[in-house]
Amino acid sequence: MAVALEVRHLSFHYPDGTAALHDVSLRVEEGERVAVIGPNGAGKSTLFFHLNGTFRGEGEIIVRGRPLTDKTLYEVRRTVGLVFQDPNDQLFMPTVFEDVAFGPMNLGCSETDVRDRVLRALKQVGMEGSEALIPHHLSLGERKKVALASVLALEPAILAFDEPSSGLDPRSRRALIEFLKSLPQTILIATHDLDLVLDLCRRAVIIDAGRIVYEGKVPQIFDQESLLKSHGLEKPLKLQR
Amino acid sequence: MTHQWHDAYRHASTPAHHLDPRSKLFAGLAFVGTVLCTRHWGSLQVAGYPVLLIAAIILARLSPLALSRRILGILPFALLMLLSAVFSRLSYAHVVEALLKAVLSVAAMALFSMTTPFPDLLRALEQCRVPRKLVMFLAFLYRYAAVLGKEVVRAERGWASRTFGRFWWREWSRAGHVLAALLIRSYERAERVYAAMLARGFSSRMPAMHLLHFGIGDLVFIGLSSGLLCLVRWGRF
Repeated sequence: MAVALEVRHLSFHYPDGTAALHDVSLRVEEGERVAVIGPNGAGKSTLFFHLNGTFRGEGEIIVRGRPLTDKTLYEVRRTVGLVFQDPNDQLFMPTVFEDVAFGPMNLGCSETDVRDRVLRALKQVGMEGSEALIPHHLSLGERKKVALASVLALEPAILAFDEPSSGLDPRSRRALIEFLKSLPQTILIATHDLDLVLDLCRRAVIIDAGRIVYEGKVPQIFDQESLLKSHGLEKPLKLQR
Repeated sequence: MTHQWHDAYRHASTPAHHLDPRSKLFAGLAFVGTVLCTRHWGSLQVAGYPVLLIAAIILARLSPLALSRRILGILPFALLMLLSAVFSRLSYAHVVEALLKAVLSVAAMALFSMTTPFPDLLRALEQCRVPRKLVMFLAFLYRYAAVLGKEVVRAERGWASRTFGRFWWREWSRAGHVLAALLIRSYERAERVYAAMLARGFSSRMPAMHLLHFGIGDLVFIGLSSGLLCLVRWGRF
């Protein structure tokens, strides 16, 4: 199978000197759904910010065979869509339409193409008809859907979700899981929600203190209670009964 | 769905709501400019300007009460003006004239903001060639005032739950800590928002789309409103 994304020996320090990632290496194949799990402050979000070049650490990121450099930055951002944990960070334009249109307009699409992409993305997430709405008038679940649409409008081949289920009620969470299952893209999910991982992913990596400490198949990981416990995680509720 | 304190817009389906925001902005600014430049107030001007406004309010099917509330917002400034009038020994007629100008101008702008969604105003400003950076600044201010407002409410609740009913003035020195925390949070959010912009291909130029439509109705509206305004301004009984 072709490799969608490869991270090689990635290390990163924040400007205040805090070491966030140490020698992280990861390989994700096309069409795969991989979970990145770990406690708070483990470095999951920092790793995700590297995948589309928002943060630039030491090491190598290869997206669909092309190394991430200054020259390939825009192409990589077009390929890797990052969905933020807090939709308020992602929805910064005054209306839903303008927000979803922001990415395609930056890509240089024509106005007709932008409109098509916006309508298609909103329909895909079940938010058709919300074009004129103002993001702060929407509920958290709706804002999350629009944030997802704003990334889908870029038509990325790889989607990286940072805590996609946080703050959602059980019905919205279930709907999100079903929706993610229906997406054909390669998906990476950073989460604490191990039940979601159980439903969606076949493979997971555990990250703690900026290092990848374990990588394997999901059932294999969830069988090792002591491993989960030592990294601030707990067996999914479904498996505890 | 929640309503936000800083949204003046009242949704309805009236001709006033359907007009292009640029034509409403033009008419509104023309009204304010004409009112402010009127030097001699005859009975036609004193009655005519409010009649024009009342006609617009009826056309927009706005509640006079809601509009009055917004006009009341200028009351402190009006009082300040009255106070300065006392000290500067302005005539009674001058004070009334200044007050009338202030109330009419604020009412016109309130009418505009209650019939035009803020994003439409931003688009109108953008297409009227107001510098794009200024428009974006206003857009971010509008979008994040709501988010910051919610954070202030949460901080207030946290504050109230730990001050056990003590008077706020005894704790005022600690309000600085709350403000500092809000400032830092806003700064951090700004960094995340910028990261989100970069993630969707932002380089340095904000892209713009033409989403407004200027039709014959707008042309008729501008012609009619300008004509009536000129009639009131320069007309004679």
